[in-house]
Amino acid sequence: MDLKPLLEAVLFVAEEPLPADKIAEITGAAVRDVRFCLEILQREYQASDRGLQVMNIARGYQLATKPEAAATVEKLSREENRYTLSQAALETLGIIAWRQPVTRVDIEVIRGVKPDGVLDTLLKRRFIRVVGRKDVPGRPILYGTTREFLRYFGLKDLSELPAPATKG
Amino acid sequence: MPVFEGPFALLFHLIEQAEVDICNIQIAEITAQYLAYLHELRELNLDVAVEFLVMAATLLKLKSKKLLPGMKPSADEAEETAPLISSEEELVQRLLEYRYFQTVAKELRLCEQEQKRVFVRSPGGKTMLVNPSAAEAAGAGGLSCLLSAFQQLLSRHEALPREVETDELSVSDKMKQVLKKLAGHRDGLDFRELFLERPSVTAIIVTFFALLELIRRRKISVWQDRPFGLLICKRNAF
Repeated sequence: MDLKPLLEAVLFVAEEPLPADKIAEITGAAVRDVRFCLEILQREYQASDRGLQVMNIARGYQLATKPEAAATVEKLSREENRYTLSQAALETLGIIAWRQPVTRVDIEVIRGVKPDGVLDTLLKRRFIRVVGRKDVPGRPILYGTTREFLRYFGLKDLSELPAPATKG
Repeated sequence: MPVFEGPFALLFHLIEQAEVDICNIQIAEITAQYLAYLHELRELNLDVAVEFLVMAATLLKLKSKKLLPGMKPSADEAEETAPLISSEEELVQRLLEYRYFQTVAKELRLCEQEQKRVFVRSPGGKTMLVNPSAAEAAGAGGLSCLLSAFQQLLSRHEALPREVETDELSVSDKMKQVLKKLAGHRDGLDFRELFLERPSVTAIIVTFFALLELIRRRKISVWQDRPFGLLICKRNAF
């Protein structure tokens, strides 16, 4: 089978974003060829009358439904899809994503409130992780974002973080 | 009465109400409004969080500095740590930074909403414990869950009558057995099902090693639907 339909099959089965090198490993093709074919596949899905799309997400590729189908597809989905993050969680995540690696105090200085509870939630949901310790007295824990963070917000990588117009 | 998550949120509300630019805030006015709000909270018998009080003290200090420009910082002020605000410029700076991350949060909310309109196969409803292609998902928590399940199995075993152990089983044989068993269960199999028929301690350990090796070779995935839930093992598609 040619590489392109093979990639389509692999993406169909995958349950999470697959990085190009991982797909290359499975298919035995060169990473460059995999990227090339995936891009063609992506364009074909985008251009044609299809309900699916190939997304660049969390440093990988994933087959997903098009947003236009949401109202209908939603009826099949489970309740957890309606769950959204609290404002506090979003602000904290924003600080961690933009300024990483950051400590608890870094977050507290910006938000004016202790972030402990929010950090626990974000750690539990695997949006953030401990990336090390800061080399200052007390060696406070440093936090950074995860691939799950990218996946949840539909971002390809950290360079895709939305840039607000006003700068702090 | 509106509720504010922190002192900055309250300050922002006040500044917006006064319709002034952050860079042109009147410290005396904003301090008075801020204190009035805290006073109201007190009247309603509500607790005022300590962060709000720290900010109140900071505002009062900044205000008095303005009234007495020649005032020198006291000894304990010199010892202040970074999070405390020592000048009006710094307050403005911090407010601007706070506002910046408010807009960041708004952008993230948009991303979240957009992504909620996109569906993938088997979305992240289950908590993946040990998953070959999600290295980050398989953090320390994942392995420790597997280990505690293993400990449980072993301790259950100790309660059983002992037998002479004769059968010799290699890890690679066991791996084949496990894969064969999982092949018949496409939706995954309870972890404990792999340890039926009263296995010997050796057999439990061999099976556990086989599981770890299969996970490492990305042949199977192990996950939990919820914390402390059943461990489910499943053969990977490729």
